[in-house]
Amino acid sequence: MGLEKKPVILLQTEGAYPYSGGGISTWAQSLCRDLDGKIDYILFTLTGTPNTTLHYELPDNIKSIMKIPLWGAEDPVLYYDSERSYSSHLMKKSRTTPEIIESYFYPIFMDFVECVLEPQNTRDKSPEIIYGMWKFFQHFDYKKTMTDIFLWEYFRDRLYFHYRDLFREYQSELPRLMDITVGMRWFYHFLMPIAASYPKVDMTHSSLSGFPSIPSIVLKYEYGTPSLITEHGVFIRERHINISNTDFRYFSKKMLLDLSIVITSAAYQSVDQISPVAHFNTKWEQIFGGQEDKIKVIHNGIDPNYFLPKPKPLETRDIPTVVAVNHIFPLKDIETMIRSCAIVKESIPNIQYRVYGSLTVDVDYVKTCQNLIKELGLEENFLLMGFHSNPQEIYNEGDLYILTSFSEGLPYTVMEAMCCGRPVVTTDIGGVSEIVGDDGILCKPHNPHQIAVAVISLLKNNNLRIRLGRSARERIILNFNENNTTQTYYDTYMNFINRPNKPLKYNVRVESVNKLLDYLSD
Amino acid sequence: MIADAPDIKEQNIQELIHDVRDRIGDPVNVWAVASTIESMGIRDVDVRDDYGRDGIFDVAEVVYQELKRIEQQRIDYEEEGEESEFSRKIHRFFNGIYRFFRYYKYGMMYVLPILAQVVALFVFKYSLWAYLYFNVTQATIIAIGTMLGFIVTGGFVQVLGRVSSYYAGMENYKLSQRITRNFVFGGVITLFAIAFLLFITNLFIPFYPQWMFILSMIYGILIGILILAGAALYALRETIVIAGAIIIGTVLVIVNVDYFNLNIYLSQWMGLLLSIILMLGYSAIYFRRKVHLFHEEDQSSELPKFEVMYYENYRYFLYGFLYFFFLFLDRIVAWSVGNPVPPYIIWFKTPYELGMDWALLSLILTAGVLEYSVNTFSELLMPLQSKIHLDSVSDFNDYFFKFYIRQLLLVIVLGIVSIIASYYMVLYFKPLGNRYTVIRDFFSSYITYKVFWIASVGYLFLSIGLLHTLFLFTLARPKNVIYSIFIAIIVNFVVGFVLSRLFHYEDAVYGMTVGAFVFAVVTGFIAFKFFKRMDYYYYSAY
Repeated sequence: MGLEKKPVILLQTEGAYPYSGGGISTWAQSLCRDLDGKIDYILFTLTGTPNTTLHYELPDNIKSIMKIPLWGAEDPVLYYDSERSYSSHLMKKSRTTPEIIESYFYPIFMDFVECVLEPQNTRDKSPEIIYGMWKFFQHFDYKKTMTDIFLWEYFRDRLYFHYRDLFREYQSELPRLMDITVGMRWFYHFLMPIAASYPKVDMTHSSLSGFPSIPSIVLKYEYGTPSLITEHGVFIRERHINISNTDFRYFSKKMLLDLSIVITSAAYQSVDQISPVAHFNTKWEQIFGGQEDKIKVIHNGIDPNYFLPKPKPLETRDIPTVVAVNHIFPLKDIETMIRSCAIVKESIPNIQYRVYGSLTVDVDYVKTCQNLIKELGLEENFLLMGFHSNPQEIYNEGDLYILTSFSEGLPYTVMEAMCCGRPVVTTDIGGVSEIVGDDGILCKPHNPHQIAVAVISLLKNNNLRIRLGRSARERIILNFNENNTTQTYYDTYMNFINRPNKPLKYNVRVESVNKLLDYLSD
Repeated sequence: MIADAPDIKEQNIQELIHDVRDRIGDPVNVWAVASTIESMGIRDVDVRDDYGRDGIFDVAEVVYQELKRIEQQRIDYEEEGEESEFSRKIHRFFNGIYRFFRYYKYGMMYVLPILAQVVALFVFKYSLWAYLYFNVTQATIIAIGTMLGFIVTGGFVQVLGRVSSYYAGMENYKLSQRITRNFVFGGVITLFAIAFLLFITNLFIPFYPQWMFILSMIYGILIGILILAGAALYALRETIVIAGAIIIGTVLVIVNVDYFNLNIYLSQWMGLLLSIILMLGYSAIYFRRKVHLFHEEDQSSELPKFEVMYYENYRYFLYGFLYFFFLFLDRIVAWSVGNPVPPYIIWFKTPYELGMDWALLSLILTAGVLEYSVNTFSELLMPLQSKIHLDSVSDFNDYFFKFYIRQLLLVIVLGIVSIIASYYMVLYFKPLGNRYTVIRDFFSSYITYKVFWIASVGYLFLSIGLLHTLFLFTLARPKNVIYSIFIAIIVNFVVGFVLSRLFHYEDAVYGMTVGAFVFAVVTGFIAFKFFKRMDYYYYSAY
């Protein structure tokens, strides 16, 4: 009797799994491990450099890793297209003549630049243009094309005329040459996935809607491969925050953001399902082209058998204790937590806040917190405990769990604490309210008074605290169980794989792409 | 909760505008504002209560419009700086002078080891592989060994410098160490392999007596390893250590010969070995310290696959090999002919070598100028790109074209000054010929003077070619340089061979000069084209 062939999924990540830890890596490792025996995976990962070390012991169902170093490689295609012989790379380069570039890539590139200049108005074209670019690079060399002088001069002049018209009165505010140089180089680096060859798989699954989702777009057109995006945060929202906070010049920021919007919108247009881990981010997805009927939340989950309620240990048994598990950096707003501790201390003098988390992520911020602790006389009450490798032990040290971040996605620590039967007091940000529901206390961010009142109410009311702790655990088991999450993904995969899936390449409307496709078919 | 009065809400909005502006300045779009507001912990429900708007995106629109208005005002009222054109010119002038001396000094650091050898030779009679009183046979042995050492390792040195410094620049010292080890080891193996092959060839076709050949190969291997060890430190900019190791090795030679009366060959081999051990030892300690400092011990970084490394670096390897082959080719041509016919296929000719070494001084003095030019070029690119608006791209290209012409003139002028300075510097010692035979012998042959002048001009052209090469390497265009040096080698050989056979053996030096001229002109045509379109060539230099 023959073995049934397992579906093969291309799992796409950016920089995290399997080379570094973190929430998304944990999610990916659990997903692959839990579906071992049912699904085979090929990992596709974008990394910052070619030099990476595996952070995880990979499960057996990860059959291969395709790694694209976005930076640090003179000719990156030699790193990720290793199955192609060296001589065929050379043949590809020799085929890539200026005439070919001018005739077949240049028109597509012109359309692509228009997409970047007007990202919101070109959503319907951008997936086809990305596919067209990918198709070109299956036959011709990426680096040689992208460094062609014709492309450079077009890009430079097009941006000049675009911004000259926009800033008629303020010629001094035109982009600088550096903006164009940097912009074109960013195109080269971030669009690298467009140059890779992808295996024909049963489905693609991207862990975010940014550049790693390019394979999903192109395979949808080429083979009709169904695709799914999981959004832990929202790539385009995070991108706006991160890029806006850089020292890049205005036009450089604009170009990078517009490029990101193009890719994100194209991904949302092409994929079959967009699955944020919580509802709160869906508005962002819709703004950038995610259709409501495609958006289906799949909550992350944890293993309820790993995070078990236990009695408090001896050292904290008689002390009213509040536990937090956070690296100490500004996003976690530890200062508000410290101030809430000062307010609680007025009612409960022997209160103890124990905060576990790395003290080296932001050394300056740790100093700020330590100074505040000293200033408020909380040396005995607010303890920075440092990193702890076994969080399942930490939650049970406390009577309740606290989170004071002002920005979060769907924090695992809240789920874990609730699973340990600890009620939570947390700021109502991101997807936290979806986790907590009525089984915890939600507060306004940056409001130490409100947080302190919530902490006091739980510590002074044993019945409330115990009841909320029990219902918290039940809520996690029912709604945020890892097994349910895995099963949902498996069902989603099988649902899409078993549908008829037609390639979209036969419905391309963009003229420049059709011209290329006609040439290649001849 | 009682909603805030309208005045308070507007006040809150003003504060929000201020906070957002502090964080992100001039926003790229309204979503940048919205995402920033969300990241500050403000929720839709807070927006209604605190700002009197329906949600995050509504208040973001208000904030965005206000920030754009503020930005527009800033543009309207921005004033020019107070500094006058005159003081800017003065400032630039003195800045330029300072930069010149700073980089000239760096450039001279790299030639310090060679200078140390020359000084040791004339003051103490010995250097690491030279001796004022070597006879012609001995000089031939050393010369062949020297050529072997430089030519075989030329490619390894070029790539080692490039790749090791690349990883060190990224603070990946583990990979820098690994690549250094691989290339030093590879170079050593290649040296032994080539030496062995030549030895076997000489067994079947006895170009030289075996004892001569073996001595030559030993020198070649030791000099080659010395060069590799120096290259490892050169890549890390540890030039003082290179100079120190060579000086210490030279001191050992002097002590061995003068105080312990050891045989010259043995003394020099011990000196070479000591310098090698010092340099390689320092490299090992350096890397161990850096790996520890950056906590790289447990990292398992991988070098790229061999074929990737090959593709990325083979042009540079080829250039390194061809460059040294070019440098020594005229000697091979000159020393393989003459009247009387030389006893062996290549036979050292003292006046020729003296003339070439004398001319080399002018090249050494010009090295600092090349360092200045290429560093200034690199330093100017980004600031100028940041200054030039898109409607002035031609100004950017014009500026760099003029910059290139200025550097070319600088190399030519300083090259001519170096030639004249080298001539008179050495001529200064001529009167001492009455006292010292070796000095009298130095100036005894007209060939020395003839070769000096022709080779000096050749080295000037070579400097120009090297200037172009450095610019082209900075712009990641090694292919163009390979073609140029290859053509130069052919010209060097053809011209030198024909003239040395038709006229005098020393006319082989014309081959080097004409070859260097061709190298300068061909690279010049390419550089000319590049500097006219610097905006594109800078963009594509990756």
